[in-house]
Amino acid sequence: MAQVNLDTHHEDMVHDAQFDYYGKYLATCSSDRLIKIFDVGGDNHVHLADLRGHEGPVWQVAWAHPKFGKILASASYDRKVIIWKETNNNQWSIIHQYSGHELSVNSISWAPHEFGLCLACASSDGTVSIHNFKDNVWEQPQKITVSQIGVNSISWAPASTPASLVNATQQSIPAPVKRIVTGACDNLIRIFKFSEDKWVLEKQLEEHKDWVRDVAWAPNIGLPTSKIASCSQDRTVVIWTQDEAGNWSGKPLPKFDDIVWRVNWSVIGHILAVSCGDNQVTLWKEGLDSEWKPVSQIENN
Amino acid sequence: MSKLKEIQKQATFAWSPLVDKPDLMATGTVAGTIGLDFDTSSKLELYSLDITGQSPQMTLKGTVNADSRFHKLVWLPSHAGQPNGLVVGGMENGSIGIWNPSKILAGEDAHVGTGQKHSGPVQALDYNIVQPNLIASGGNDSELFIWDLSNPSSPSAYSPGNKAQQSEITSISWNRKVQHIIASAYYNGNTYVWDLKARRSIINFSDRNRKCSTRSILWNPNEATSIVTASEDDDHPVIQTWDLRYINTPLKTLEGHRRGVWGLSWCPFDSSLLLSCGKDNRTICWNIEKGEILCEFESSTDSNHWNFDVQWSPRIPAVVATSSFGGNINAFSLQDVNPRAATPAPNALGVVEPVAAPLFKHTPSWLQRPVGAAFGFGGKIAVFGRRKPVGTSPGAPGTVAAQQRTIHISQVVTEQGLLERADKLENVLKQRNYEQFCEEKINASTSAEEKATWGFLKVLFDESSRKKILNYLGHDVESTQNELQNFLKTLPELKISSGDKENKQDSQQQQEDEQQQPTENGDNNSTEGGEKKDVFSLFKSSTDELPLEVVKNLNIVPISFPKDGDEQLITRSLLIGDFATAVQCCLRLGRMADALILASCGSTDLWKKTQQAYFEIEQRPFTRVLSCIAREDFATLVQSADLKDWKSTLSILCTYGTEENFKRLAGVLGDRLDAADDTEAATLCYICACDIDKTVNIWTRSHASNKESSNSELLNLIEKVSIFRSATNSTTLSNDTLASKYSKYAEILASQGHLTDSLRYLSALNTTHPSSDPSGLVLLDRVYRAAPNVQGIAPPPFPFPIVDVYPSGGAPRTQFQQPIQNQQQQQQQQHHSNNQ
Repeated sequence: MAQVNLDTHHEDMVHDAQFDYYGKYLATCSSDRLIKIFDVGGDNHVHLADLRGHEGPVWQVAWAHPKFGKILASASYDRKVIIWKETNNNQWSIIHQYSGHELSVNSISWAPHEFGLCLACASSDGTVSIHNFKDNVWEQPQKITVSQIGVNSISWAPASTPASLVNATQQSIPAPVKRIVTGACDNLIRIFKFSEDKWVLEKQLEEHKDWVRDVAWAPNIGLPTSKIASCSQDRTVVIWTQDEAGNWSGKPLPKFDDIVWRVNWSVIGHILAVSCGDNQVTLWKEGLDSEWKPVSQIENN
Repeated sequence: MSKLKEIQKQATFAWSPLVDKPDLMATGTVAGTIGLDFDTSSKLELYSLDITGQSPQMTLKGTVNADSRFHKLVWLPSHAGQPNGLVVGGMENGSIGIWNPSKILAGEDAHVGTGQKHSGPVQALDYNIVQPNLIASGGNDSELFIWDLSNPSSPSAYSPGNKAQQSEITSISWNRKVQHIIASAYYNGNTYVWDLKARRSIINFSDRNRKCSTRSILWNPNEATSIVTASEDDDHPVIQTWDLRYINTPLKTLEGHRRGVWGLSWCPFDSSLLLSCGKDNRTICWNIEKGEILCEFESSTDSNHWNFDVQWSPRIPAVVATSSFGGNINAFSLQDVNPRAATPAPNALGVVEPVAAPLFKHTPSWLQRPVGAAFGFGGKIAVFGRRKPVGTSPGAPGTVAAQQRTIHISQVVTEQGLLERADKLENVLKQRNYEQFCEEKINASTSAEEKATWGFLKVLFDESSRKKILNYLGHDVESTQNELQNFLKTLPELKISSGDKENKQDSQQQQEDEQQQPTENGDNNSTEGGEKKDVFSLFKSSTDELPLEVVKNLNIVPISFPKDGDEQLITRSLLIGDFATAVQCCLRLGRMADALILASCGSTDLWKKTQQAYFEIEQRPFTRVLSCIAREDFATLVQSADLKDWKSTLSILCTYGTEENFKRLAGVLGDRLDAADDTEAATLCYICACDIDKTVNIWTRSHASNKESSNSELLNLIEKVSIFRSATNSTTLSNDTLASKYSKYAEILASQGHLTDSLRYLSALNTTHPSSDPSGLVLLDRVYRAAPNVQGIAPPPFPFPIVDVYPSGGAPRTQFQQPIQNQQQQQQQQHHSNNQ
């Protein structure tokens, strides 16, 4: 496939790159403590801004939904979460900062926009914090103790549950439920559900033999099943599917040659990108026979 | 750091090196100590870290008794014949004990072999990381042996060279980079490096300034000539790094321990990190490159319970275990090598002040995600990742190569075949090559149904060629005519056999004038053609007008009137001009031909009634079809034709129907077929009827019933509908299902990066079918704002309520000035600047 190379001019390892909702802008972050914004909508990529504020490597960046404006969140080894906003053309301001985690903040994820402006953060201190912007203020974050050791990743469930889509003709569509999934250093995947004003552990998925590096809840594509992808230090990737009775079952992909660091779903959710420590990024797709097969490999050179 | 678990044992230990069992640990009762009860037994046990278990203890997985206590324990990685590796002990009794961990787990006799070469306790063991069946052992007898455990029940040993020192060997390390190099450390402070190929020691060193007892040595995992030593001397408790190239003096001396150092462990995930433990009851995490202390472990309050060993888990990042004399084995998590922050209180505004920067001396590599990918709307993917380090330290500081900081943005195309077809369709629609496209589709069709569908569609573009439809129904005009001619030849020549011998008619004339054929047998006159016509004109004209002279003339050739029987009566009715009754009589007598002839002389009404009566009496299929054709009563045909014969029915409509009633009746036939679930036939009829809605209804229905319908089937549908719509100049989409199919198609196009095409479909859909689906507007907005070229298309409304977010603590702004339009303008400006 055609490839365009974007030299970020970061001065250290790049840890994340995220497109905005329209795929027009790319935010990158690095061990050099910087976040950079690029316009990648046209043929020529234009560097628009550097965001300075972190005091350690920046692990992840995440764009909020455009209905909130151009808002970016970042998570860093410096134990801080920063929420940025483009207030003027290419001028970004810190609109919120959270320093309540005791160790590295490894992962952040914006809730589906239906739930308002809401960010979940996962930290090496074993906790997850949930930050709600409501009635023009950032509320006191909700804290979830997830694991005795660190949490590596966090991902939100789509706002519309698959069942409600299927039964769209029903009179009463149940109110969407907030759910998050975490991947932790204790090898467990946990699903938490917001119920009666608090977060409760709904499910614990046990399959990986080592650190769960990443979890990703698949976007809802109108199928009656909900899907989560997880990957691990143990070189495996598991695709979890929830049946209509609510039970989760995991199907592993063939074992990889190195640690699997990231799993990412495509926007429509048909394709899974698996990023492996040997620098190979492979794309996977579920066949009509429900078997996952590689569709292509992106040579990273 | 936080404590995870413990084992209440005084034991030496080894972490599992197994990828699929990283949580296991082997422990062996440690030598050189004795319990309160003077128990001298020895056990080898396997524990699981069981990190999510509630118990603070690790979980025991298996136990075997050993005949001696352990100085040192190593767990060899899996290798040929040993999927779970082997556990090897350096024993107090001078032997090398070999156990199979699989059997320990299974509760079976797990002892597989013993190596007996040393004459004193074995304190030092290490294995070759490339060939884990090779281990090296060092004993208090100063001897060094290399063992091959390929056959663990009878291990073979050889000496790599003559005894180097008369001092106990305290530690052995196998070089991580060069397979035939090992190092041995001696209690007297010397370290020897051995070349196993040359079978001799090639270099040795010690601190010249200060002789001290070396307790541990470790090769640098990344640099072949670099090695670390730890001094057990309480007066000089240092860790020193050496480079064999400059052996006269240590490169670095790490001072921090206050009493002798025992254990060393190099982090397998981050080669900057080295752990050490010592008699001062401290366990320290060093940045070995900078020679600085990063953090220190919790240690026992009992100063006698100092840690004699510390080991990183080789598989689980940031997990460490320590073992102490008289105490426990403890497992810790070292998530962050920097001290945990005290929880600072937020200030009045709820903002927590940033902590001072020097806190972050080092970032462990297990937190440093080195590779990743992210999808963007429109099938984009951004990929980043460092190259695999080749021979250099991955954590080495310095400039980042361009390739490490470069992000690769690609277009993910998973539907290449589909896109090619979509492009082709766009071209066809643009250039109006409909008929050629249909032709290609006909040729490429694998099923008769497909062939017919495309054939019918093709015909729609050329009304004059409607009869070509017959071809697709299996009724080729030319071949049918040929067939008929051939059939005719097989039939006997027509002979009129009447009572009158003179009555001859040549068959040619018979063919020319079919109306003469049914002439009744009773007509026994040999007449000239002209006179015959007179007979007919007589019948056709009214009896009132008959001139008497003609009757007289007729009498010249005598006609004898029937004198009796039925015919006499009928003749009489003729005489009085009562054709109606005459016809009735003939019909009832079964004299069909007579009846028809008579009727043709009567009124139009009579003619029709007689035909009707005839067709009612004659219920043969042939006559029924004939009936409809003769009376142009295609409605009846369509209403009552057996649906099995829909092809013939449609053919008749094709051949005889007017353009107007053809479409209408094809539609009616389609309705009947559809009601009878013959959707395939119904579709073809609807195509003839140019009824796009019903056709599409069936197509989408069959498409929707197939839940797993592939994108290729979706495109089949889109192709047909697009062509059909072009043929009928249809601009509306009154069909919800179709609208959703188009939306789906647009979504697929967008997902493959064909934003412009996708946008065209979506904006068309939005104008013709605006309220179909709110998600359609979301998609339209997204495609519009992602598409590089939106010229000529009005910006769709932003389909979400805008939420204003302002800095925490700051005053709310009154209103953003129509942010979407601003964004729009910006994008367009950007677009322009990109084009320039």
